[in-house]
Amino acid sequence: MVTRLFAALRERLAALVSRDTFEDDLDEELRFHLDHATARHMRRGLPRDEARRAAFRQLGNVEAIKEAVRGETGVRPLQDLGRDVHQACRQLLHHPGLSAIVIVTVAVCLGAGAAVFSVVHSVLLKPLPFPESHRLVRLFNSYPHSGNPRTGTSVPEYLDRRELARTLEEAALYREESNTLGTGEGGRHTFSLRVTPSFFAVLRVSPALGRLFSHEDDRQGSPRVVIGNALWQSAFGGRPDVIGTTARLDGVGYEVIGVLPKTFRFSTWDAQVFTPLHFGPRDRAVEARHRDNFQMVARLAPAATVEAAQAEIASLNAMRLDAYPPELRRTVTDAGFSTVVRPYLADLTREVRQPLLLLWSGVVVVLVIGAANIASLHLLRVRARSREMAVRLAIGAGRFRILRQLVTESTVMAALGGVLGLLLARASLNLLSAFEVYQIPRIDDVGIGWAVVAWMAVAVAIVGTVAGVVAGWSVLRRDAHLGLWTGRAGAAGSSRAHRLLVSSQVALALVLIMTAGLLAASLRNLTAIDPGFDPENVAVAALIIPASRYTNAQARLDFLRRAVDAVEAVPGVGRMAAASQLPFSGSEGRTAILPEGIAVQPGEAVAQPYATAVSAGYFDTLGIGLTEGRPFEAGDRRGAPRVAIVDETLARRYWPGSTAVGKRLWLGANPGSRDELFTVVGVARPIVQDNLRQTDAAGALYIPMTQTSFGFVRIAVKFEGDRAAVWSAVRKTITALDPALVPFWTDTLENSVGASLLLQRTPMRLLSGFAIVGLFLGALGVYGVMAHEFGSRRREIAVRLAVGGSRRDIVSLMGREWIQVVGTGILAGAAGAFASSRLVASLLYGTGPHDLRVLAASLGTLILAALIACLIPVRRAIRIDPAVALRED
Amino acid sequence: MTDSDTRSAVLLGTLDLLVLKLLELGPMHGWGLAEQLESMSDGVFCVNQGSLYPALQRLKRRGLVRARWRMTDNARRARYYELTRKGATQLEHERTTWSRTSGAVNRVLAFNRREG
Repeated sequence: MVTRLFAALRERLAALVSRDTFEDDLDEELRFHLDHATARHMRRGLPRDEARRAAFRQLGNVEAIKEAVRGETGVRPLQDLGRDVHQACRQLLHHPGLSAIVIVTVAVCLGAGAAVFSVVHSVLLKPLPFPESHRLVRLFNSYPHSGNPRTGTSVPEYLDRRELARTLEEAALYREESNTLGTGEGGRHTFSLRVTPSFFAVLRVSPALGRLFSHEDDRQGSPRVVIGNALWQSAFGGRPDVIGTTARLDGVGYEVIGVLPKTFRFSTWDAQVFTPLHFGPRDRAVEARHRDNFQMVARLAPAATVEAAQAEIASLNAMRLDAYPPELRRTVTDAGFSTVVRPYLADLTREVRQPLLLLWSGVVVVLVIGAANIASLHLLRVRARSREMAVRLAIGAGRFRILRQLVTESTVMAALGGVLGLLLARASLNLLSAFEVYQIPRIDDVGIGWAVVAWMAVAVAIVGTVAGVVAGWSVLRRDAHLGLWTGRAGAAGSSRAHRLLVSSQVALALVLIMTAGLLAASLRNLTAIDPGFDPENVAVAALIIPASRYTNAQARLDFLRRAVDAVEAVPGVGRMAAASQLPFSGSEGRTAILPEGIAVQPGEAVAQPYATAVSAGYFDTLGIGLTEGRPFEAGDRRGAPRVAIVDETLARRYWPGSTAVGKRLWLGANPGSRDELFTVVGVARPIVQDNLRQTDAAGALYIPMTQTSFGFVRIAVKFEGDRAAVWSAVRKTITALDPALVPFWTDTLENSVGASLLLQRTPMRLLSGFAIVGLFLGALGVYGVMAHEFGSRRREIAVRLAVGGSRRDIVSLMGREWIQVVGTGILAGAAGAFASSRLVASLLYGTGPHDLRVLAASLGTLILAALIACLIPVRRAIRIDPAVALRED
Repeated sequence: MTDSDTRSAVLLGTLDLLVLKLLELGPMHGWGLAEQLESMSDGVFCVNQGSLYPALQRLKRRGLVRARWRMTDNARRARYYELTRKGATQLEHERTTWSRTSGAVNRVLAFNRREG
């Protein structure tokens, strides 16, 4: 029994594995039969030929017999698939050119799709690398009426929420900083996070080595540090005995207590150094509320939703607000204060979501255009084989069987293209770095993983099936017998499917072109904006003057003054500025201000302008003009009367109709004492701070660095000539003053401004690429339908010419087809473009779907491409020699 | 197929039985079986030669026959089929069924004749 089972199994396996042997055996067996039958007929006196024919007649249809024998092998479905694939490959090789076009089309479309999908997946979809990361939320305060829709969180709020909020399992504060690790030559700049001890508990991270912070570390206030895995490898050689050693941060010794796991990655700030935050009693005071100097991340309680947390925090806020002094309460309420709770992942990706989804839609459209192309190419190819199809139908092959064969063929092509596409996608992901994508969260994780391969498999299956079914539907729905006689089953009529495909391609291509055009117009509008300062030839960098060695403000100021003097003496350097922040540097330091003698009206929010501490050379270096008053001078020193410069926006708001110069104001939302007043000495032109799409509504305020305290400064140097040479001289000059101080984050202001347009520029470029591919594929489609039109009307055209029709008649005959296909496409495409432009509205600037120039340019490009596409077929049509063409059939 | 007008096609389902019977006499190749079927049936019914091969494959799959490549008398390779033990049992079984069926059919036919 077992042996027989085994034999049966072997039989099946043998039939499956050695398909060729099976077929060969069958061939040989039938040949043997026919030879003997022929011999017998010859013995009975028939001549060889006739004997052979008689033998065939007697045996019957050899192909049908083979099919029947195969049907009896018991492994039919698999074997059919094998044979289908085999035959599909033979078909591919039979038309290598056409196959190559289809495969390359699939590869380009699916490759682009896979590349974009891998980005969408890694950035938007993949969960964060923390346990139950969907429960992580970010909380921030918002003061929309003060022009400050997003700030951070204050310490009292943190303490409150940890204690009282039941929807939050754990909450933490953190602040992004940067330090110099080590000293002297070995010193390096590192990104760091100062975190509450609860931080790692919120994220549920366990250390790779040592331990993480406990609340003991909070209380003791001893300098301890946790380091990231990358830093551990690069600076400590990955040694396990690093725990307990001392690391010098900005010159101060910290005990290394733990190393984070390799997978740890938090926000876009690639911090490698973590130090604990300490809060004193002062931080808990009511005045400390709304000093939103920290960011908050929290973990929702197991059953809590974001909405529930939002509601609870709002009521907690309201409760605290009741206890405020009335002045402060009014100020805060008028500013429209609220706390926003957002899912962490959604918040992290808030800026890239829309551009990515736009790109995703773009690539899907390209995919559909490509799929339509593949379907129509497959259709043409299958139609060329309609005689074969008809024969197969006639000998009894099932329609379903043929359809399956066609689907297999298109799927094999799609699969080959898909594999090629994955390679293309991988290669194109390497180009990501060319797009300044470092600002995009989680972009480092992008790669071709299983998710992308799975996506590709699904896409291949869909493209293959659709192409096969469309082709099959077109061939099989007609009476197959026609094909036997004409060799061209219902050639003229069945191109309706084809026309429909091409029209939709034209439509989709138009949508792509128009969207890309609108984005390009927006980008042009954005780059044409005058930011209010002159970014040309300004080199920027950051510098830390550590409080550990420059212990008081005066010492830091002295160092800075010496640095400015030395740098300005470097040949090629114009002026040098130092400031607490520079436009487009990514920092957003704001302060509420209260002008003296101006009562803020009920319901009117206190302004929270950008507040920048600047050195005397700031306005010259950045080319910001003063419309009134004077810049800061040497006399504005520590101890001298406090001075400030406001921009025109701020001046107009508080002192409309009169000059702002001479007026006085307090920093902060509460009036202070008289000697805390700042006197306005000048009015500057407004500048764009960090977003070209808007000048800041709240305005800007400048105070001299000499009258404030700082440790971290941005420096800007106006230079002439070669940036690299000038910059290395500047660097040398500064390190000559203090070898431990190395400028970092070196860039040019022009680059910073340009980089701020990343989320406009990159989608625009990529979408333009998609539009070009889409246009090309669409044109290919138009070419295909016109060439086919010509092919099927060859005779008709010849007859028309023969009976005296003019070339012009022929052109109009072909033109009618063109207009029908392209015109339908354009109408549908224009409608689609209008509909879709609403989806990209938030990415547009100074333009819209009504932009006639973009519309005209898009239409022009499309029509031109479609005209070029029909040039060859039309040329061939009017060059027909009737005498030759009519004799052909 | 013009012959089928004058000669009845082999009764549905009986081809397998006939093939098994022929193989009981010894191993034989497809062509040989076709020839034998034609001559042995005395031209009474026509075996569609084309349906012989699917039938052989079917029997093979059911384990009733087994196939082997061997040399013929005039030194040509041919696929010989032979009865397996299971095939022999099956043949006995079908032979019984057949005689019972044909006996019944004959009786019915005889009954009809008497009636007429």
